[in-house]
Amino acid sequence: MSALNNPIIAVIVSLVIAVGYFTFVDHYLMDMQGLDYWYLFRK
Amino acid sequence: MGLLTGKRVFSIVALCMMVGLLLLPIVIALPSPAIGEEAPAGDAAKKDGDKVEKGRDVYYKTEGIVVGAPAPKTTDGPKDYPRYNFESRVLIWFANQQHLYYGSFVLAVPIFCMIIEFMGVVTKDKALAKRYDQLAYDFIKISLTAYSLTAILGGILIFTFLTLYPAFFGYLSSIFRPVMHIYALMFVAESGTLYIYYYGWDKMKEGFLKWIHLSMSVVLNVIGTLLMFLANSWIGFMMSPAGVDEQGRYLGNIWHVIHTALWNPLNLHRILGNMAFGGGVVAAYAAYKFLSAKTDEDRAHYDWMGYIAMALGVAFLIPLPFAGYWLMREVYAYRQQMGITLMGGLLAWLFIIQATMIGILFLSSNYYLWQAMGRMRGAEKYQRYIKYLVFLLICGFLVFITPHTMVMSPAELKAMGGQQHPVLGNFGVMSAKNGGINVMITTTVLSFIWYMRGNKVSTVSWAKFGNIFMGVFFACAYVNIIWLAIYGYYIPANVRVGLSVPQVATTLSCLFFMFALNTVMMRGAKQMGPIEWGKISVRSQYALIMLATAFTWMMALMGYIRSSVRLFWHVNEIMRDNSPWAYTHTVGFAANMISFNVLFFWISILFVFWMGSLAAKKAPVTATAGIPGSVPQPAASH
Amino acid sequence: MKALMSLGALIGVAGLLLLGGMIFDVIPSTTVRLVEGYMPMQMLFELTCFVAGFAGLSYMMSVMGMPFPRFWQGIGFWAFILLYLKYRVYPPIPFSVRAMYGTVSLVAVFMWVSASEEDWKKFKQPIMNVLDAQTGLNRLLRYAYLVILPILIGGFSYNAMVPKSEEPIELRTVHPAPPASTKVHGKTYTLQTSQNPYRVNQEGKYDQEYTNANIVEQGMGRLMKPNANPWDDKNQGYLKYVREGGEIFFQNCHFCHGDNLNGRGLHAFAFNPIPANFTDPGTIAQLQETFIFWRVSKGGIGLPNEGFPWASVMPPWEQHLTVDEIWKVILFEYWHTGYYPRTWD
Repeated sequence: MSALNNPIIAVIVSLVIAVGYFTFVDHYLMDMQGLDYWYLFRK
Repeated sequence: MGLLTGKRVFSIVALCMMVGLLLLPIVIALPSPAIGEEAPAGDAAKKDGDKVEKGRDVYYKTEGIVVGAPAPKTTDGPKDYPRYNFESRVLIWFANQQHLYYGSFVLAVPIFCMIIEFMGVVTKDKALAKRYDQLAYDFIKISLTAYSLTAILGGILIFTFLTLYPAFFGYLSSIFRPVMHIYALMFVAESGTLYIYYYGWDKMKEGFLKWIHLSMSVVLNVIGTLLMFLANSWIGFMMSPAGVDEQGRYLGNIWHVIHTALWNPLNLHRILGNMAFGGGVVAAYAAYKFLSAKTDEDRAHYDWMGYIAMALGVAFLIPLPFAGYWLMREVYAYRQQMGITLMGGLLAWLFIIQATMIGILFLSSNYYLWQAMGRMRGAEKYQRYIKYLVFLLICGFLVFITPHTMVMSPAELKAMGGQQHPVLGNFGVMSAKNGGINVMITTTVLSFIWYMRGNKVSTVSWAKFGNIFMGVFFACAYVNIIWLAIYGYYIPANVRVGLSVPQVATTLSCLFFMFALNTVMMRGAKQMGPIEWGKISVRSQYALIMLATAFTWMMALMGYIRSSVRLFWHVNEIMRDNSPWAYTHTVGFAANMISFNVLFFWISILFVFWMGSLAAKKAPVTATAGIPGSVPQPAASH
Repeated sequence: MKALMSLGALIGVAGLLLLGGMIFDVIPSTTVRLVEGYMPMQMLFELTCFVAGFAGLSYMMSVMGMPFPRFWQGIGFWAFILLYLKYRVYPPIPFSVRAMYGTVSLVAVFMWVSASEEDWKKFKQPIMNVLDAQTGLNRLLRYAYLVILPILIGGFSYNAMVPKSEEPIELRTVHPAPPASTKVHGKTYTLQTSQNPYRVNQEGKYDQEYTNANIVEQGMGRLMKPNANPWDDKNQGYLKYVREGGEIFFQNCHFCHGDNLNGRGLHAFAFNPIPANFTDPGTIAQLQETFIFWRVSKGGIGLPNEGFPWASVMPPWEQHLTVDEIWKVILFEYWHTGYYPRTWD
């Protein structure tokens, strides 16, 4: 727990969680509407 | 709960009977409209083998037996459009708008009371609980006078319709006959419940009876909401008719005429809008009382009242853009033309004005929160970052209000080399605007969280991680919103439209998760200093008044847009408007009329508040006397 | 912290010098180019850099013992925004938009300087000093304001009310609502449901995905697929129709709408409003094909009143082209610009 309080570790863990979460949200919600979130990257 | 005494049993039974009696008219009325009109249709179908005329529902595309007369084809003249030497449309506009203002107010205030009374019951701090209860009581008192005014204005509205638009109103009421009757009967239910709720407050203020009282507030709100839903059905029908055939003949299915394409989006949007508007009005009331307060205690009380009203109003403001977006999407899905008229065509400039007003709302709320942080010892650590929040808000706002087509002189047009500015033109489309508004909402959430933790320091073991996580989460949320806004430019329109959903989800994630995380982090937190109610700056109260005025103006603007999108139809594509006023007003005229409505409403509600204060002068001031001495400090929550 | 702030200060000073050069016409606005395709974000990014720069600058100055008074910070920042919008962004932003932005920035500056009580006191101090007029300079300033302010206000009012010989501004709706249906050459087309009969795949069925895969890449102008060349004689179907549409376009439309479909044709600047720029993401990229069909067939005089039909010289092409030719031209426009027509699904 105290390792988490180390600023650098905290930033990295937070980044991983946040970026992962938002990517998931973007993908899932677009998918739910039947649209392709990764459209541009497929081209 | 204790013993089931005779008194309790009696009160439960009495409550159930009362609710039952109040709802009885509805229950009786329900079966017949649902089945359809039997008696008049019976005459038509009496003759055996007589051809029963069928029609196809313009929206649901189902077949039904024609029951009503076709929509009247009106002609300009004293028969269909009797008039004074004045534009009838403007008279209806005025009556309708005032009725809507007061109706919205009296629907919002009971919801506030329900929430605040509930908070009063569950709060552990006894002094605070009493204050909440007294606050709820004060709110409902204000709403009583407003309630009579709503009814009066409703009567004026109906009379105006009957006398100035008899053909139209005759047609509408022929279709909505049962709905209008239920509407009227539900007013009886609403009044009954309201009076018992208000006058029984003191008698029912403890223990079991208090829960009955709370339940009554729920019943009151259910009835009020249903009333609004019924009224919304008429408007929904005028904009997106269903349940009638192409000639406007009613096909017997009352649910179809009620449940039009735009009914539910209107319902949701109006519930949220009512709350935001009601919150604004109460906050402005509190602001005025604060500014004119003579004692510190009064200032403290009204500061607190203003905060609660504003918090509730803004809490309902935050989902409002999403409800509005849903409404627009449904309009586009129903009739693309109507959608384009609204935002791309004739009424587009009004939406730029609306964008400006929305920005003012968010700016005022944020500003109020920053001022509120000023009265908390310990919130100084956030002060130096406020300018960055201002910057974020302003960037979002500027993007949000940039019109796609700019007002410019021909010389400027030539200098620009085209109708669209290469840099700013890109801000004029939906992809950017969604990004802008979501940035503004997220910043408002951030301000709120700073306010909630302003005077506290977290003492949980993972506090540092928690703080860093919150910061990173917000930063990633901003990045995600802006990324989605930019991404939208590079993909086709039908995919881009879907991007608004993840953008909204990002903003709402910040709202829910960060609030939850903050609450958990602040458990048992060390308080740096109390909240000094009453010590807030005077500018904050002006911000509250600005908030209320902006809400009022916006409501009138959106109502005008809703009405004028029908263009030359009374009922869209079914009944044509053949009055001499079947044109769209200029933007300038509309703005003047809206401002007049706003001004009139505020003057009249000041009269209502004054009458409320007349009554208060007679009653002993029990609220502040119960709390000893100095400025009250609600320790647990705010 | 100090390192960060001094870096910020450096950025701020550099930016200010550049802006100053642009204001006084020492250097052209294009010195720091607005990169095509990134302009709006670039503008926001530049503003962010400036804000960071100013924060750094004021921090460094206060550390060095020369704090920049809040009053002048506020006024300076607002003046900066106005000058930035007027001189840095090119082509010039119309006055109405600059007025809106300027007002919003003023509100922003007010919110910033009045955010906390002590900031507000610091901001008000110079104003209070002049109003109290305790020193000689302040007394002089107060008298000066007494004289200058009414003159300024009078001047502005006069300027606003004096009749000018410039054309009045127009509030033309660029994108009016289309009618529900339109009749071209005797046949009625419902705009919400009609489809381009030439947007077909190899089986001859309406297929947007197939045609969208065979267009030109936006921005680079290359073919998306190597075998998607309309000028190849062997190509049939969609690509052949694109070629035919192109022939029609260059016989009829490019004089106004330009060879690159960017509204820069021969006659473009003789008209007001100038011909639409199809490469702009705000024109055909946002519209359904039926909308374009309506506009091309009915022309400028077919516009509803809010679209200023008297001002547009767009010919009603139904008088010169058949319906098939119109559909093919629209097909070509989308092919050439690389945009997809708007759809519902």
